[in-house]
Amino acid sequence: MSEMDEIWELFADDGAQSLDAMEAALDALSDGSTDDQVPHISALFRAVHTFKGNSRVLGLSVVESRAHLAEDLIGLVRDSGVPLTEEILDLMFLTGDTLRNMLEQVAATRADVDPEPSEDLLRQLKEMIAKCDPDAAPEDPAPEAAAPAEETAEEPAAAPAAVGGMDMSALFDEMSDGEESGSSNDDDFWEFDEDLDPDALAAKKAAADADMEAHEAEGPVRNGSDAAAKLAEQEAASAEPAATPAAPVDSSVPAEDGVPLNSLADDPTYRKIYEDMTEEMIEKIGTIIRSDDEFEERRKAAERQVDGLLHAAQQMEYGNWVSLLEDFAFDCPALETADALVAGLQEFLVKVEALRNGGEAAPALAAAAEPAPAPEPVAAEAPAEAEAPAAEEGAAKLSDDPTYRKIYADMTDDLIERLKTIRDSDDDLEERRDNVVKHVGGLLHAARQMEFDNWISVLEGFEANAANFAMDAELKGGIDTFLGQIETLQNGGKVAAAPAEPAPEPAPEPATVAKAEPAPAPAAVQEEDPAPAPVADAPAAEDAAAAPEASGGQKSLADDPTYRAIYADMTEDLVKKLKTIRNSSDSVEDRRADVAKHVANLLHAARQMGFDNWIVLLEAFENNAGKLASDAAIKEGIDGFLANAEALQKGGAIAQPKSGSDEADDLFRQLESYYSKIAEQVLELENDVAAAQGKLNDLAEEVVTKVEPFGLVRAEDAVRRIAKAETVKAARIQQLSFYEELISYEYVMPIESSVSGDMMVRPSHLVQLWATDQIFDTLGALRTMMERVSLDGEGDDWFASFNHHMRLVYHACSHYRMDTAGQLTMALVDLFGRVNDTNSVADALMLHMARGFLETIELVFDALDQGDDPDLSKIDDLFEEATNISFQQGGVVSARTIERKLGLPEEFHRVLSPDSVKAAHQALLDRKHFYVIRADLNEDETLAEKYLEWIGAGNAQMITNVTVFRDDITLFDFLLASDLEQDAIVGAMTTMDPSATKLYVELVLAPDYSSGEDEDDQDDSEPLHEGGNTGPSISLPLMEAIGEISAGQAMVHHILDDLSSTDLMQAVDHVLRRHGSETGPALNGDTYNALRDMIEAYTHKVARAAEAETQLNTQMGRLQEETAKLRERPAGILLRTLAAFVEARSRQEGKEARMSYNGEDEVIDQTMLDSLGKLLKQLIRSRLGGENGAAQFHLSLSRNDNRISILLEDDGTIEPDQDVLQGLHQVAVREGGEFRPVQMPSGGMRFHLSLPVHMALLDGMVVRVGDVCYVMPVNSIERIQLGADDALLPIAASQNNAMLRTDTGELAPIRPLTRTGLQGGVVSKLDAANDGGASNLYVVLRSDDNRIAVPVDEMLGQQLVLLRPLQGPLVGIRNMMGLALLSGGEVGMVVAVDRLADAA
Amino acid sequence: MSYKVMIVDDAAMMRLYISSFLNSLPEFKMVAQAANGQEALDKLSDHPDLDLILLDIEMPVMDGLEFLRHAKLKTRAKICMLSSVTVQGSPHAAKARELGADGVVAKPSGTVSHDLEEKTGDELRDTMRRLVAA
Repeated sequence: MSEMDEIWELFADDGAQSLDAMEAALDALSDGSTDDQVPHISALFRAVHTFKGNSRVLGLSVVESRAHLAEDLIGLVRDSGVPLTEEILDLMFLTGDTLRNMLEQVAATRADVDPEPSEDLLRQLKEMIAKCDPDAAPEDPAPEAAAPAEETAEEPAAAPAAVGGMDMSALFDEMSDGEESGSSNDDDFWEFDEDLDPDALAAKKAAADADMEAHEAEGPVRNGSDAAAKLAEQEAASAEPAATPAAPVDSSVPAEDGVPLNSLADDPTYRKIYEDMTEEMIEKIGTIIRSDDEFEERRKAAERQVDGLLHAAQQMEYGNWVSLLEDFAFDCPALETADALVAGLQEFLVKVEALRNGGEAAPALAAAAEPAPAPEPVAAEAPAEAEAPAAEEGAAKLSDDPTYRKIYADMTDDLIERLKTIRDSDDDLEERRDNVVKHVGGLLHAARQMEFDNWISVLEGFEANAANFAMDAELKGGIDTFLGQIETLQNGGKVAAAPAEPAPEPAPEPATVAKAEPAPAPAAVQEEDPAPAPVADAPAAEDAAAAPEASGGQKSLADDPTYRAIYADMTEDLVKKLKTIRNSSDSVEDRRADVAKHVANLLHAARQMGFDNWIVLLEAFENNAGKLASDAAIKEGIDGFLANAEALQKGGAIAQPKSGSDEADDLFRQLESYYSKIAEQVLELENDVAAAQGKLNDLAEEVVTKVEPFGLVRAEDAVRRIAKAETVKAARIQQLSFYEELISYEYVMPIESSVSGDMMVRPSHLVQLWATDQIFDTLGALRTMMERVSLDGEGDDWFASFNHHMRLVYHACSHYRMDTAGQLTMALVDLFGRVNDTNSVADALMLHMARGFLETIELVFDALDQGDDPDLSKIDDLFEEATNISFQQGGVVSARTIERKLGLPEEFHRVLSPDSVKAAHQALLDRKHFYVIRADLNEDETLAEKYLEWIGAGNAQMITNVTVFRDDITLFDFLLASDLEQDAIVGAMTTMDPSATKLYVELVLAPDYSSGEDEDDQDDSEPLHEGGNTGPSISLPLMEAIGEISAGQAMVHHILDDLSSTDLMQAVDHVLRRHGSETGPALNGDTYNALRDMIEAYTHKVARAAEAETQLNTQMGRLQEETAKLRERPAGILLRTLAAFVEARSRQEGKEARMSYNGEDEVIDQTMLDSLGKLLKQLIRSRLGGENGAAQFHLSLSRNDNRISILLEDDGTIEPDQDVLQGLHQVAVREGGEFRPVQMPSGGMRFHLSLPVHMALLDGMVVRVGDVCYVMPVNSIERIQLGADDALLPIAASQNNAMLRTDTGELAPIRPLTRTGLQGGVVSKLDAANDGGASNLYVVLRSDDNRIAVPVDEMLGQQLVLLRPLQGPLVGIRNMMGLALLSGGEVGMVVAVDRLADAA
Repeated sequence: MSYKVMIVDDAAMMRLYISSFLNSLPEFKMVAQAANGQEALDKLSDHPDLDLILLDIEMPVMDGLEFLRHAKLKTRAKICMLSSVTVQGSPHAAKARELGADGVVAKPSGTVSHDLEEKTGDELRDTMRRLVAA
């Protein structure tokens, strides 16, 4: 895209924005919804003004003229009190629409529009203006092909400043308004300007510097049109234009006598733009010459082309070009025929070429160049126009223009007022500071445009400092100082501290100290820089700071005590903030960001002040801040920085890195070679324990000799423990422990060392890489551990291994900078660590949480492995759960609930223990009062005793207490609950401490006694049950335990049932009667009655127990159901993981394989999920390998009642790995499943894998056949019917088998079940009959299209049973899918209907 | 033989409670106490044969976690956090484990827990015994 293209594009964009703004303002004004019209009128004015200015830049005189009148009209409303009528609004709307149409045309044609269609609008605007202000009835503001002089007269503010596609006056308007100084238009503008060629900038700067003294001595014009007019006269009289190059091609020619130039023509970018425009015009005119269009149309097109370039030439101040183009514009309307037009255009092109080639235009043309004299030096003339007598005295600049100076003066006054308002405001400090920066930024932009260097220095200095005002007093003081400086500048003086204007100024940044930058290395700085300590109370600093400037005769901000004081305050502020960050418990990421932000602020100030030592220190720290990856690193980094900062504050130099750190670097370098040697020998433990231990011992002793000088006693112990390990696993644990001890040392090293040690193998990096590399193995090991964990406790070895693996996960999290995930990992280590430390056992909540963690973190690492952003939201939830686990375990409301209900201050947040929460909860229920007592007891034992005795006496209940630091003194805030009213509490405190300085009521809380905590708590614990089927599961051992409880309960049920159904009295009576008949009456009547009463009472109790047990039975059923559901998982978890695995694995092999899948909504058991995952990963891995490996997989998963079926297809032409297939087959068979590979004719493989479901919950019908209970899936039962003899049809062809004709007429083969349960297979009907258990009760089962009838002895009823897989020798039982524990305590065999039907 | 214990806690009352608790355990003996991490760090060299350090977290001058970071490099004594902010699973507890704390126990009722022995005595005792035995 050429620059012209960019300019037109910019024009279209900016124009559209202006018109949008115009429309928005008109909408706001017309809908009557706003009481304050002023902002909208201003916005409307600005929009039209900007649009007009931009149109003029591109020479779109028709467009500009309409916009100009619209601007005038709204200007009358804005400035002259003309009421905004409906009529005006309608006209403005019409203008907006017209301008938008024009914009579209212009954007498409890149030429001005035909004036005709908008003549009526032009007339209406003129009439309206005349109506509103008869004195100001406008002439045509810019008639087509208007002479520059007319434009200048009518719109003096815009002409010279229109640069970069934006209107300078519009910009100033926006800035002075203050609210929109940061608009994107402005940004574009300034960016564009600052992108100019540095040489051009330097030239402009030099020119500006040459003139600056004179201009700034006058200062910007203050309010008042008289002053402006006077200055305008002065300028007109004195500021003659400087010489400019004759033609754009001669752009590099300096001004005569070497005086630097200062016009757009000095700028190569603009020169290039002008050249492009010239090219374009030549091309277009060539087209017009050749065109067959109507004469008039061609002439107007030619005029538009010339007009466009004419405007540009005026902007560029190319006098010869202006002459030539104006001449043609003048002559063109007189060309009355097409031939004359062509001849005129050809002649014009010849002259254009002559100018482009460095020649001059025809004298006649040049002589006609200057129209009416302009009051301002708008056009810098060509060398030929040597009549300019004062060329050396100054180049034309914005600051020469009284209009701009007036605008600048107004902006200055506006800023002063705004700053005073901000200074005296009660608004938030941060808001005021931002406003200061914003408003100062506005004037600073203007000052830069005006090239008021003194102003730039002052404004830049103030802007930098303002951003760091941390206190009200600082802000007020800063503003006052600044206002004083402004006043000085306004009065033509100079700010004492501001740098004198060099001529020419060597550096482009006027606010920085003009002295050579020292080398960035700290050592060099220390030698060269005499410690310009910025603190106000370091007198030496003044001299030191001033010294470098003296030779150059310059002063810097550092010379100004005010700035130095401000800098000192900022430094103090930074120190405080860093200390706060250092000790904060916020996340590492947040703290790192805070460090960077605060350091950057002071760094900016240091640069402004030119404090080189500080710059070096702050830059180094800023660079390192991003690398602070842990709490320890942050603390060490801050400590190191603070030490150096303190040294600088005291006038010293940045400390050399501690010698210890160098030694530490050496230590780590010395250890580098041992890491691999140790790892090697650890592996050797598998082969030869004794030999490996011997070598490890030697290595350990060598390491100890390296480590010992540093006193790293734990590292010594750890490395020696490696040598004592007898297994790889045990050695690995000690290996990690050794590395972690080294990491501890690494983290307490000074940060300089850490930085310089980038090339060194640092223990933290080593461990992180190790952990990351084997993360999936680690997670697999953890998953296995969690599956096997029992409720009886696992002992030290289990925890040691768990701790080891979890720490590896932590290091892997650190590698990816997942702080919360790392914290969660260690929180789980803490939970299980405490269990281990106290010889207790992990509870269901902990196991549930750990499994949830593993499931989630595996997905996270899967995502990372394939370069995706992991979803960490679940990690946050789990961490919250871990934090609250003790409250959940205790069954108490959460700490957060209590914090909220009591309205506890921040210091009590996240510190309440479960005991404290319980106590507070009870106190709330008891509607006690709550107080915070501030106590200074550490040094007053007597008072402490009194106070605690007072509490102990029951006056109050201590809920909790926290430490409050006052400097280095420890105070305590006690949260008490008491029945006593406030006055009684105050009285008691005063009695104990009459001075009321060591013990007093700090706060009286206003608790919320309402009982809404249950709902809240439910919310807190919600994640536990969230998603039901998708949440983390309860453990297998726990499931077993529930099953056993259920069985026990069934036994109790059976016994109680038996007891309650026995008529004990009848039995006793029977015994007594029989005994009496033999020996005479055994009991007299009273005794008998008493015995009967007792037995009846006993029987009644048994009956009640049976009732209670029946209820329990129901609950147990529900518990079984719930626990089974907890194990259920959507298959999507497996499928997504596998798809990710395919991508990640193939990427590792330099390929891009994908897997599609279906069946993700099927629900399968967690154990099954894991089994399938392992098997399928193994299979997929084998299919991916090599050149002919599969690139596309499709996995289909489905489930029926008792089986999970997987169909995996791929397009790989690689031969199947027989070992893998064999292994999978064996595993599948062992699990009671099947595995079948099929080679597809079209290439690729298809694998069928089916496994029996595990631990599924089944809605079953329990039946009895002989001694055996069977469970039939209810959804497979078609009907139950009695089999009358005529319904039985023997099938002779099928041995002794028979068929049952069902009530609906279908035939179903009869498949009897064994009555002994020994083989689980079917027996023939005949066999069944012979077995003596023939029954005419049949259950008709259906599987797909197969129907079978199963004879049973008894229907025991429907039950929800937990299906457990057949294991060990039971796997061989045919036609059964598993076992189920029945509510009667018996075990039932669960019928596999499909297999039974297949066997029929 | 008794295991040598140092108590590091800025609350004088808490040091008393812990000390009293230790007196009830014949196998442990308090040999030093410190009111902040820096003081404790300074005392380490005077007690090279310490077996156990009971360490609070929130203390002036140098907090417990910072002490842990430094002390780990200098002493073989087992370090057991004993703080009101180390409720199980809490961020501070996690941080302590990350930095290598050997054991973590929470004070039951705030930074000054007069009911330490009553409510946490068993847990603290079991943890201490396990740590020194390891």
